[in-house]
Amino acid sequence: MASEGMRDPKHYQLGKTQFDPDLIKEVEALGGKNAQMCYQCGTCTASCPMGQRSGLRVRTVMRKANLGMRDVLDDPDLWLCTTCYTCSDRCPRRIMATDAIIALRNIATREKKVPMSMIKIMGAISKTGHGVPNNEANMKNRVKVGLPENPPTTHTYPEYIKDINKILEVTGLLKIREEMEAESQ
Amino acid sequence: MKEYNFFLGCIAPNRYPGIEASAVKTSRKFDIELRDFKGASCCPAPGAFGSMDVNAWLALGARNICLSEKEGKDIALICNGCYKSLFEANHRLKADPAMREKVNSILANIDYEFQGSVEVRHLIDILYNDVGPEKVKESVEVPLTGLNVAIHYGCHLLKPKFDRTFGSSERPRFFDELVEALGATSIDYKEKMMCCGAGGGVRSYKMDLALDIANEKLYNMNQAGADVIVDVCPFCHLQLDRGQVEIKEKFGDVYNLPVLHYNQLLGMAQGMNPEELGLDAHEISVEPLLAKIL
Repeated sequence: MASEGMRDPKHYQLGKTQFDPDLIKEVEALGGKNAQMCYQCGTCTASCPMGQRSGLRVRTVMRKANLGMRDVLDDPDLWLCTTCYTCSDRCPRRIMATDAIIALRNIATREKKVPMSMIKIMGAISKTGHGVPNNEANMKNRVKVGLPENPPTTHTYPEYIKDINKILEVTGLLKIREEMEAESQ
Repeated sequence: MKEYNFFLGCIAPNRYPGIEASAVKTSRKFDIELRDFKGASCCPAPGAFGSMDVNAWLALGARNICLSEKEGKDIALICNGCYKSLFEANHRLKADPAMREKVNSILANIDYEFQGSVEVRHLIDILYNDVGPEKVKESVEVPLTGLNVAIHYGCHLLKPKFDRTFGSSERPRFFDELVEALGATSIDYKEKMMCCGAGGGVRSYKMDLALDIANEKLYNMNQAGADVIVDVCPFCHLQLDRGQVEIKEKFGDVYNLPVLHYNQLLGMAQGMNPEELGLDAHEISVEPLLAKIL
């Protein structure tokens, strides 16, 4: 029937905005549990320490995700959530809004819309095993308090780093990093 | 004696070694040995790394847990970020067979398998629930009487509450009890449970906004008459300590509030000297604090 084609959600469009009903399912699959239960009360936005000083509106993010508005993935404010989980702990629907935001960031990462600051942290982990590696000034401070220059982590045992990179490789993150680093140069 | 594999994370060993050293030294007073955890890496940073790929985040966290499983040791740690990564990975992979299977299929590439045979504990949890405030009090040699402490719990120790064991994240008391066991006073201040602003990758993405949150916290602590800020997370610690220098540069606000990790405050109360606790490596001078208690 012709009406079925019209009802195909993939083709649902209002003005210039595309609506993708699979987006919210993807968010839930990536950890944003019960995201479809959101009834837009706004407790999240009211509780958000970052929302008070920026454009981040958790309720709006939840609405857009539920409507399947993929432009939420392009919003730079999506990366302003400090993941404090206050909204999630206070949600009357027990929705993990923070995890929904993290899921949206995961999807944005796959589309190479992740900020380079995140990619840099991955680079440090890939190279040293640490997101924040040791340095010379700190080595001196370690010795002063009776510790060896390097902790007994991957800094002392770099042979473990190859396993970390294998995980980055099989999850596709290494490729994303390489491509984004190449594009940014 | 109870032995734990001591998971260090990044900021403590690589920026504030006094936090690492004080954890080891103060724990020995309670017959707890925090031993070297060979080959551990970044947890990895939950806000930054989890934001890129939750499955990779879980797998990298599980790699750390698997290393400890091979040695048959429970894990103790001193950072809320590490706690989120490792406690949640451990808890979720034990509880959810489908997730465990997915993560184990990633780990199979490096010949690891998550067994679910060890526990992951924050040292503050061990101190409160296993040692207890009474025994902590008995270990005190220099009571911190008259010291006004602004406690910063930090978010990922308590939240999300359904993935934790501490109950309400709105008005917790256990950390306050452990501070008061040292003779100090835990002061109340506005928005005490507010985030430090550093997490989620925001400190490296938009530092001004991250610091704006820290600035509000510092203002509220200062207004309430704090002598010192005490935390249980090296990343919050960095944000509140080094953050004060950055806030002064960017916004012109000056607080000069010393910042200590609980292990360092405990070390002072147990009579250790400031040098062995690494207090001289902090950005904000601890001298006013030392003058008050020594």
